[in-house]
Amino acid sequence: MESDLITLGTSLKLAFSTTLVLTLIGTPIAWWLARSESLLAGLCIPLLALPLVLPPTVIGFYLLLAFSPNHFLGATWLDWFGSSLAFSFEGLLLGSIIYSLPFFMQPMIVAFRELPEDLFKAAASLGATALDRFTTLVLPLSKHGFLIACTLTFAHTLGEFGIVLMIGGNLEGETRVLSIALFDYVETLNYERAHLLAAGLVGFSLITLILVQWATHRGYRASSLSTR
Amino acid sequence: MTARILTLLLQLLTASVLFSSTVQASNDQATIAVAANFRITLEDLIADFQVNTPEFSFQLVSGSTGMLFAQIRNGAPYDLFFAADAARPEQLERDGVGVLDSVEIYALGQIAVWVPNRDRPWKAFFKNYRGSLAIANPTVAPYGLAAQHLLEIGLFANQPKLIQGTNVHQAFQFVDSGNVQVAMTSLAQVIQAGVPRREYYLPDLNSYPRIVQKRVLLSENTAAKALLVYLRSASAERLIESAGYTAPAQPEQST
Repeated sequence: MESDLITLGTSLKLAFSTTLVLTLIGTPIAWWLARSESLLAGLCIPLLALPLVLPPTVIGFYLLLAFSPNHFLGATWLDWFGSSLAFSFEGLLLGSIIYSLPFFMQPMIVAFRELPEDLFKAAASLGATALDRFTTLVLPLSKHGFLIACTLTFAHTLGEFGIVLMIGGNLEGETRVLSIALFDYVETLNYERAHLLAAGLVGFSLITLILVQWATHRGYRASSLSTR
Repeated sequence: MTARILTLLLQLLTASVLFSSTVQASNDQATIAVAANFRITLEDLIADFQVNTPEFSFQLVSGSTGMLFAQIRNGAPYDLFFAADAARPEQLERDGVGVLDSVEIYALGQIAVWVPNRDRPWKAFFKNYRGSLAIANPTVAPYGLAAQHLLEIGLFANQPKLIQGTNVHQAFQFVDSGNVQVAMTSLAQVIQAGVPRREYYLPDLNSYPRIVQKRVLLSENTAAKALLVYLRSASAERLIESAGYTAPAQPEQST
């Protein structure tokens, strides 16, 4: 039981960290992608959706190779931090960010595109600075977009399995997450504990989806009101 | 729209189930569930068997012992099961899923410590190594359990940081990809990968619990039974031994 709590802690920490990092770096990129009509942006959007269609094992495989000290990323990391990127929480975080990228970016791009352009022009003509416009217009108006993006990212990271299996190494308190623990329980015929984790994940995912559904609904209403 | 897609999916699913069950019905063809570590060896054995009996054909399904066990218990249509341990086939026999008295040892596994870059003799290596060690997950894999036992009796003077793979293959692959320096894997795995002899160390067989791999018959399929007869032959045993397992010298059979 205690080990399950440690595992739950690791899973939550991973999901929170992934959501946080994606919110910080994903938001400005999504903003640019939603507005830009450049060729680069046009190329970036399908690229960002790639983790959606690739099997997690493809990502896991490339990450495992990239993390190796024989390759640039792994070697640089070892140089800077003195520890290996593979089989560490940081490595898992990096994998999760890539894996959950589309789940954050797609809703945010959609949300930013729905924002009424003329409203910003009006605000600018009244003397609002870019920062003012971002905090008083963009943030409140794309609130539901953030909510959907963050919940999906969080839930998707929590349900991650294939990548963790390949680059995790099953270290308690570091890289053993719920889905891996569940896998081990099934393998060892410990169905009672497996049920506990599985049912917990089903319940949580259901609540998440209901939340997203609710937010989407509100979002549509809000955006249809604002364009009218 | 969604309902139509769902109906279509359902039809596809039923069709595939029906299709697989008609394939199953043929007695000259057997479906074999095999623990991942033994798959390549079993493929070689079947190829050797088919030289004289081309009328039989076999389909292999490989995976971890626990997962295959769960599938079999839930009605997976396999005729024969090669597990990586003894417990699962015995359990299936007790449950009445396996054919009575058909559980047999088919191979004994052996641990190999693989160190691709070793700059000192083995003794000095085990005394001085301070780093990570890739092993198979001890709670899931019998090889992992044996590896853990070797660690407990002090094979390494300094306890290494353990990186767990789901099985010996993954432990091997962690080293092969350059992420870990040392792995405790199976002899079969290093032989299969063509690792030179100087790169791996074989701990004394008596210093860790025996890794007994058992099989169990799951149906009265003719092809499966014919294969079992072949597997008890001397030429099959030679193949098993050259793959890095100890064949059970005197088959421990009650029949």
